[in-house]
Amino acid sequence: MADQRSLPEETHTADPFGSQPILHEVDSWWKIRLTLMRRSLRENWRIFRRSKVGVFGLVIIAFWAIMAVMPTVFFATGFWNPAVYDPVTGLELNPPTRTMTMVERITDPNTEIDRRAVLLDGRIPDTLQIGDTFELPRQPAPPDGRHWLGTDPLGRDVLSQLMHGARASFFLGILAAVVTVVIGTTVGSMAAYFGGIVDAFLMRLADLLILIPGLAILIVIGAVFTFQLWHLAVVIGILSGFGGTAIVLKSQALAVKVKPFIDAARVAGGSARHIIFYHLIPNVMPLSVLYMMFTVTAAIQSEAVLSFLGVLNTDTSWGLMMNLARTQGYLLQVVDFWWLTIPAGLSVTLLSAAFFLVGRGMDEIVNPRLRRR
Amino acid sequence: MVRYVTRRLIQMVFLFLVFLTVTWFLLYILPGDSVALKYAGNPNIPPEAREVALERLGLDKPVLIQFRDYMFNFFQGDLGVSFNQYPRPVVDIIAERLPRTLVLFLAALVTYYWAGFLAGKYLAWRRGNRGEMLVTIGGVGLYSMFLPWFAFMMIWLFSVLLDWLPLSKFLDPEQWRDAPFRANQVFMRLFWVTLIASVALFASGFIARQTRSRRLGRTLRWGGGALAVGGFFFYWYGVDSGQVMRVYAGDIGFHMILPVLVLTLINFAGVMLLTRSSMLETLREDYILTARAKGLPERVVRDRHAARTALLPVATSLVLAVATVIDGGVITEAVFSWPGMGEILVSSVLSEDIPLAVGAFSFIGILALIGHFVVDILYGVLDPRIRVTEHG
Amino acid sequence: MRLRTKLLCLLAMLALVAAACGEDEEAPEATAAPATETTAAPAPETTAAPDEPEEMDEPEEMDEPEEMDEPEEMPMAATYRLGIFSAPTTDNPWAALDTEAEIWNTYVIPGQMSLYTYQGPTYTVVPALAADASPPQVEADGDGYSVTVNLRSGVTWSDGTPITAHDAAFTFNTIKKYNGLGGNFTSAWPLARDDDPATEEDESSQGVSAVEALDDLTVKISFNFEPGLAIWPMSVGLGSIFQEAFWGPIVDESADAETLYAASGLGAPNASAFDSVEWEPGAFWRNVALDEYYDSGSQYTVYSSGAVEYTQDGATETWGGDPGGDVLADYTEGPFISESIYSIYTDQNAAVLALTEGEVDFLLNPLGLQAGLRNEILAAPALEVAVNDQNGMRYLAYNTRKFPMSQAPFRQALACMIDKDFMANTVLGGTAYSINSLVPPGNAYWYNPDITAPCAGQTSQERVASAVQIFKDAGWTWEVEPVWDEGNRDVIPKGEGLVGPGGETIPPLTLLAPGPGYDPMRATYSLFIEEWASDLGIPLTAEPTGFSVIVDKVFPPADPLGFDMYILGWGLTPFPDHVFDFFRSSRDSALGGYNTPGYANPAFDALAEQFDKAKTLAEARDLIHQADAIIAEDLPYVTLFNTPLIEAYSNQLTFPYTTILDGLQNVGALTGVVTIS
Repeated sequence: MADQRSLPEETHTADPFGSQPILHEVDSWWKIRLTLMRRSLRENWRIFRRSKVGVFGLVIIAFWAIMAVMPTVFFATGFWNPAVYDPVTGLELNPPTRTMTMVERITDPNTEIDRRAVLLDGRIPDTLQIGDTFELPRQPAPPDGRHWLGTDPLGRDVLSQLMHGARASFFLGILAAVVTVVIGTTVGSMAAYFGGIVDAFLMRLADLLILIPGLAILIVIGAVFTFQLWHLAVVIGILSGFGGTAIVLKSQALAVKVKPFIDAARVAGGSARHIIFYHLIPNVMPLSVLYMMFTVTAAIQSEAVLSFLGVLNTDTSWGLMMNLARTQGYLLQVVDFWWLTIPAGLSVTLLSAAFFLVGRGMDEIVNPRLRRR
Repeated sequence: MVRYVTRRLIQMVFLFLVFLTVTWFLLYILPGDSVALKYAGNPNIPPEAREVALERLGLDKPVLIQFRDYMFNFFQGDLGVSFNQYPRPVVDIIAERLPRTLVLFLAALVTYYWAGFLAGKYLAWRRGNRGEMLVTIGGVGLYSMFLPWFAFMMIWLFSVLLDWLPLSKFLDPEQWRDAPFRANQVFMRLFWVTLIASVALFASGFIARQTRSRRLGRTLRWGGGALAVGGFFFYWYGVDSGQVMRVYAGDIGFHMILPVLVLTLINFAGVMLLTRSSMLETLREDYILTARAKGLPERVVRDRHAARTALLPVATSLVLAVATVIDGGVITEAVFSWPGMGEILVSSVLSEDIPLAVGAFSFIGILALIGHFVVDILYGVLDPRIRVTEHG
Repeated sequence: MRLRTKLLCLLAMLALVAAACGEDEEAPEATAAPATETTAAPAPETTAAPDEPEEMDEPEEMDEPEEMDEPEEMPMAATYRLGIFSAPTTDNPWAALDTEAEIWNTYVIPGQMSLYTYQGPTYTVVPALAADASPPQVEADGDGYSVTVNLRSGVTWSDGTPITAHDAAFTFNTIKKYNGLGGNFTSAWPLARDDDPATEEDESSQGVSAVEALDDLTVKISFNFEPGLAIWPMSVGLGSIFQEAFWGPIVDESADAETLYAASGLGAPNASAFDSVEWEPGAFWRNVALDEYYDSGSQYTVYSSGAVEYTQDGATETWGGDPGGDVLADYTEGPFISESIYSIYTDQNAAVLALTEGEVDFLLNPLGLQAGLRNEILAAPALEVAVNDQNGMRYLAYNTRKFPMSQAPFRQALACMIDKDFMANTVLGGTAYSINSLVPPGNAYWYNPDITAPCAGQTSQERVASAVQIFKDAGWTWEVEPVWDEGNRDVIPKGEGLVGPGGETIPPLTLLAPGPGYDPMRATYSLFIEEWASDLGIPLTAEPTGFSVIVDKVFPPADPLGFDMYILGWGLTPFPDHVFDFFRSSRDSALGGYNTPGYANPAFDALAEQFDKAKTLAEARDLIHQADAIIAEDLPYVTLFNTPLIEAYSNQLTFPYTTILDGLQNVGALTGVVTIS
């Protein structure tokens, strides 16, 4: 979403679970289904485990999941005082100070100031003479024992923001992915099952959504609504669910539709709804879960970019942390103020990469042709 | 086939109409308007001026009349005048920006598709070794890079720390002082010369592959390649029109290195993974097994048999990428001060310059529609497994 | 297989680049910046041997001493390299005053002539084309009023032809031809909509009815009403005048303003020391200095009293009162540079890098540099710094049309809780400073130093007590009264069940503020205000809202009751008539004006009427001071803070002055008088 990127558009033709037994008994249906699912889960986990990249991604996700929970623990145990560590309203009232010496010409900007600094910083008194020292409060402050990743230009704890940002990313990514999958599978299956006008309409709608330049349209929508995180998640979900994902899942559903068990169900008098929800969708689901992973990646990236551009109205997010560094001019002071940009930038990258890697790992399950012989 | 194409074309026109309508109204319902935003922070401009401006931009008329007028003019080829660069025609602005975006992003596209394809081929072949995992993780890591951050880090690294490459912008003003050309002329020339040289290269390679004789093939490939490259240099050094423009073209090329590098690093992994999957599927096809069984060298099987078939999905995604190339650069263009179509998209939306935004959107829409159309037809023609069906 | 061919293709591209860079070395231009050569020289090696960074560093270091020597070898006038952050949107000076009234256009398009003009750094109004030291008085003339202005001789357009009264008449007649132009023209040349004397109620028909050239050097401006200081000279006297010889034929052919605005103005005669010669859209704009500029060599001495001593060809004039106080600036008019190049950087962070790397000399930005760059600027010894007061304010506005914002005690009590100094120095880390008046201190002539913040200098404890007292005095009551708990340094318990003197309960209130993505400072401020309000028992919620959404809710008259409070900002002009425009009831935003609070105070309106008629600066200043004090007491706006305007520039530059309201950017980075060593 962020820039010119092409998500791999692959042709998935395989039926992931093999042919399913035809089941007529509605009572036992769920039980058998559950048993099968449990069995296939175990089997799939076995396959997934072999994919090193997938496991690697899963480890990263687990790490961030723990990070996302930590603030609750810290606040609950009193380890963190909300007045100081709250990611939005927290404020370090006693930032560390640095002794600066007034000099004629600066040679070491970390310990010296010159007359230009008096102009630049309202807190430095203009009575300082050459050779005088001054205790300058540091905000943003570098990492220390109180703030493990330092504080930002508004005196707030960076680590706390990072953890809350992880929470926001998970919330956004997973919500967007669920919306995508629900819409994508339903639309794809319906288009495949009914064909004709329904299919033409849904597929043209999908084409329409693919036409739209993603970031620009998100900015438009962001200007119409007071854009919050869950709005963004739903919009991304809709764009992707009715758009690209629907097309891929439709082709998968088409392949399932011609399988004998669908005919059997139809002959046995199954309604369209029954066939779509009990036969088509369950068989399309694995592939859609794969696309779910890619949606999470796209959603996290979109949020970061929109926040970075200052279009989104969120409290805390990684993109917003970068935005603050950008608007306050710290973005390119990579060495001096690394804690303002590198943790947030790296987090966006790591978490979205992790979901992508898990997606790749799942690809091996969904797409048996890719498995090692 | 003809029936299919006609139907598809009609659908495309209809789709475009819907697209145009939706974007127009989406932009129209944005809170505030271009005039209000412009004057909001400026007490210099009295409220009366607001009404003058609204009237001049036609914003005082009822919505439906405005929409009708817009559509009417649109299909007469008049995209209106930009609110923000009043009274400059939208077509003018797009014509100014398009070459810049095209040259930068096509160059990046070619580079990263090429890099991605090579890496993908390697991955598919080296299935399961440690190298595969490292390249995959590294590639996905780059692919998931947070673009603006990464771009700034690269600027910092290459332009500040190492001081090898220019910071941003697409030219050096002092070198262009009194230049006999507009930058766009140079961009267009750069575009065509490089395109012709690349097509010549591609053609010689393609013909070389079709020949059965290895020697003839090699001669053709090298000869054609040398001719294309030679022609390329001859143009810039031997031909008058090329010589005078060389310095300027070179300056633009020099400024392109960093953005192209960034885009390549970020994007190649997508192509790489696609190629890998596609190759892996192909490798299981019977004819590859046969080729291997015949005892053909691995390299031949890989390059001649597998890669060729595996190219189809990659080529498809390339066509789609070309079609959507101009909407891509929102971030890249902003970071590298490379004012192109992406910059228009964001700035026109944020300042509610409806004609410019709809103009840019529709341009992108048309290109994307054509791209999808070409892909559909390509698939129908190239891959006999996929039959064009009435499902559309 | 294709690898080789593709590799060749890539090599070809690289070779192209290398070739171009080689070219740089062959033909180094006299004025080429050292930086360009540094980057260009190692480039061919970069492509050839990317893995040898050690070698890369050497040429760079070798260049360092050269950088020092070069200026000495080049005695010729230099290139002034400026950075701007957005591309100009037009090259037409007419459009640049109307719909395209954007600062970026103002920076690059050379200025037009006007009768009077602002003189930096004091913003004294001094003659430009007019001959009289102070603007002549308006007199009754038949049915209306008129002023006759004598013009200076020897003032020329950039093409060398003299500027005459006919140009002024032409300018006005052009505006009349199009039945009034928009944007800045609306105030600079307000068009009389009615030839009969306008009635006082009908403000919109008041304006200039004619501009006539009595002879080459005398112009008569007629009004259909009696203009006060704000119109003459502060609007009409400063209005732009265009050259008839160049624009006349274009205007004749243009049936509407749109056609006029579409004409290219690049190279059109202007009244500055520069001519625009090149505009590469999206990349740069170039102005070159005139060979003969009429004002070259004139001597200006500006005193802190605002007086200006002007010496041309040995004759000295004194403008703007008697010289007194310190000499703020003493300089000779240039230009001392050969050209100015404005490069466009769409990203400010990249632009700052360009500045620290020496690629540009000055960055033009109405907001200056971000405070976070303090360290980076200090670490670059080759940068000088100018920090100035910004003529603007961030403010909190109450919708006084609604309860409880309609109650002055409510507005005062909440304002009392807002500790502006704590916010500026602690929360915002010294990157902002608090302001209390509607005219910022930097606007020295108009600033009212007696205005203080509500509850100024009080501790948190005292603020709570004061706010409670304000409410109590006005008859408001709580179910639970807020109490400051010194032990916990917090209000415990918070106020609950606050009701007005008539028993009215307070409905849930919303504070619209820009989101943290748009402006983290105002977003944070709004959260603190929310907290302080809740301490008092006011159910206020800060809502981060998109800028355009706030604008849409508060400015157009659609629904004047559609908001409770909001935080936005204003950029202001040196002549502070905004003090009245923002609060007089005839300018209510419901009527299309800028009075968003819907503030209606007869005493204030009476002052505004007087201001309209004021003829002298002293009179106007007195009225502004009174008005400012009323607002600071009654608080339809609570002024919050301002950010200093930080500008950094190459230490090769020398400016005659750097202390000026709104910074050097407001005077176009002084291209006309800057010297480059």
